[in-house]
Amino acid sequence: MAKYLTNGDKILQAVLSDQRLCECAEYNPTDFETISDALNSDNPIVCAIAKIIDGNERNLTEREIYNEVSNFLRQTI
Amino acid sequence: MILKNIRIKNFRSYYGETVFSLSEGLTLVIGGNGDGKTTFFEALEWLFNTTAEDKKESNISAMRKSELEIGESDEVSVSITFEHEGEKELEKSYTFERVSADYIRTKDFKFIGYEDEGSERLSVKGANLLERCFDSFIRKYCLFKGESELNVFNNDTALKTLVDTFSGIKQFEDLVSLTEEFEQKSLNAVNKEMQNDQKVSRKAKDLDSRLTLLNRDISDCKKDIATQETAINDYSVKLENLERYQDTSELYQTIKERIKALSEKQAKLKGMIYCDYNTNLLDESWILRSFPKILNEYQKKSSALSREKRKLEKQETERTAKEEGKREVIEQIQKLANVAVPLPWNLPDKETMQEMIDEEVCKVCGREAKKGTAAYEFMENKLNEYLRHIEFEANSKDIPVDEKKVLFPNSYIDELHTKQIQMSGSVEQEISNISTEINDRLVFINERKRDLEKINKDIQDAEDEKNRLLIQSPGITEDLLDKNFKDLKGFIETKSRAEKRVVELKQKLEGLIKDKDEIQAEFNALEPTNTMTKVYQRVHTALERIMKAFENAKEANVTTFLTMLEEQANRYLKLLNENDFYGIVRIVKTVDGSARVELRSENGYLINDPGGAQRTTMYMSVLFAISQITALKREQDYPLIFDAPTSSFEVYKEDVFYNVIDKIDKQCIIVTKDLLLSDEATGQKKLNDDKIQQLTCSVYRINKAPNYNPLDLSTIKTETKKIK
Repeated sequence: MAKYLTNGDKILQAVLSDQRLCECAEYNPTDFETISDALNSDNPIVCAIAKIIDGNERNLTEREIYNEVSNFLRQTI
Repeated sequence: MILKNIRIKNFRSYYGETVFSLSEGLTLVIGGNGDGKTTFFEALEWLFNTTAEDKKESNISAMRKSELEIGESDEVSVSITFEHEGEKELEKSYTFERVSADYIRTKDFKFIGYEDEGSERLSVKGANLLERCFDSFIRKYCLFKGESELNVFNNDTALKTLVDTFSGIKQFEDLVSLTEEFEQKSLNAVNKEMQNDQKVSRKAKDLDSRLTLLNRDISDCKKDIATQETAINDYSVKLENLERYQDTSELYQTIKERIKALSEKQAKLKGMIYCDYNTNLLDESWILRSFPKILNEYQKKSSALSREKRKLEKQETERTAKEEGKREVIEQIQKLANVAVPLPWNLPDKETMQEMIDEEVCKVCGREAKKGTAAYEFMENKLNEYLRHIEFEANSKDIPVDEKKVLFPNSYIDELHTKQIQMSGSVEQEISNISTEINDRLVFINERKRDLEKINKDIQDAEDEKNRLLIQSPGITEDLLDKNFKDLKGFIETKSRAEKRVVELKQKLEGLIKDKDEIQAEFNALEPTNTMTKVYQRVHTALERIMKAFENAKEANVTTFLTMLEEQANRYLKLLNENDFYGIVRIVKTVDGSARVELRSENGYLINDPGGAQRTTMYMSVLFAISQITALKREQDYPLIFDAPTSSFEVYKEDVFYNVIDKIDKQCIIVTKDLLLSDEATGQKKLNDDKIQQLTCSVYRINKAPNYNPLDLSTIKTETKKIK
């Protein structure tokens, strides 16, 4: 059965399919179907993207999302 | 969703219940003006409207209302039966009741849906069932009134709504904005750290200052581009409108030119027929216009008088001659009877005569003249003759002897005759010329007056034609047509200037971005001593890449949708224009976030002014494409309902077009006045049976029931007949 994709999942797939980003961040876009997959990724870029989309879907404020993502990136890259 | 039938009851001209059974392809509903086509369409619009409990009295059949007695009631309803995961029904209705002679009350508004669950038929809320089977988004792309509504991209949010709906991705814009903000924040953080770093502080400050300037220039440049692109878009819309109304505009201009030319003629004619009669009467001797006639009459009368005078003179001469002759004869006879010459009448006098009679003696001859004798009688006669003479002289002594004898003592008639002679010849000719001149002038003026009357009528006809044109072009004002036409050149030039400017600005922007990237690269290449600063640098780089990926993904999402839509639209365009030129549909994203449908030739040439049928099929192709994408993406189909979409089609194309639509795998309902012919004898519209026979689709004929009173709405009802 096909997996139900949320709006966030579709956005994630669309963003991760960016060729340049794939090359720079060295990931395979087909490895990440859902936000949940991406949040669990070891790739900081993939995970940061998932955090942005997820934070937006959870209606976090801009500052909250930024702090979370920038702190995450500072720690991981 | 496939519609199976539509039932309309007591809705405006639809008196009683009318049922339309629909085919899965095309169903044509054909009717003339006022036969109920738009009412059919609006009945469906009313059914699909979930925004209000609309139970207004104006939707009730006037005929049905007029039949109701006080206290009686009936209902207005529109319902559809359709197939959507099983057969379902949707019905909207309300009751109306006559409360008094002039008041109808409406009540009991209902909007109910019915669906089968197992063997049970359940009733559900109509709005919910409608939203489930035929949601509001789809309904936006389902009902189209007239040709002007066919362009689905005629509002700013259309493209975004379509992209959001069909890509299944929403809020992309929000995320793009969010990542742009993050990139900027991280950049600011890096700048701050860099400027505090001992090693690279100076260089960082310099680069930051240059970046700030460049960012400002880039921002200004982008604003300029947006302004110019907005202008291009505005002028494109204006030109498109102008093209859309080109025929109307051209016809309007032709009529206007005609009115102008006629008005000029009118002014000229008014100048020609101007005549100052008061001045001309004396200054131009117009007073003599009737002189020849008067002179003629005068001549006749003068001649008659002269003739009469001569006749009377002749008669008088004859009479006096006769009297003279008589007298001479009498004298002659007297001479013969009595040789002696008689005494004059006054000798002897009266007293002597009376004395001789009294004494019975003739004292002239000295002889006796006894009473009773001839001599006595002679004396008596002599006395009587004397007395008659005296009396006659006494009566006529006032009249001079000479005047009595002249028949025409004055020379008036001769004077008249002399005048007549004086006024004849050159004078008469001169005055006659004036009269002819006046007459010619008056004939000329009368002819010009007739011309003017005709011109006035022509002007009125042209004005009427112009007004009819404006009435038939709702939403277009005379000013707009005038302005559009005048501004056409201006629009094209301004658009062209804006396009050139955009190219220049884009080149400039590219240069600025390149400079910025170089400075940014330089900035990123700075090797700060502080490790934390290096971390901020890497975070910024990551966020910058993420931002660009979001931007690209958003653009790709729109591009993918437009490509898919174009592909489908071109497939339908080809089908709809079988055996004709059809071109290529391009859907161009505009700067305001919407889109514009264009028709291009294979070589990329923009067809600025597609003909009416071309434009209609172009827009319809996009509609079919949206419907098809809906079917693919959402696994549900829906009918397309059009009110008079083909009014600009040429007659020969109608039946071909309908057969093509019938073959397309889409349910369509088209209400139209196509395929009707005018009966020359009665002026009534009748179906073009030859063309109807060639159609493969279902056909309904609707028309007003005969014998209606054109002044009384309550006599109007729509009759329906299934033709095939």
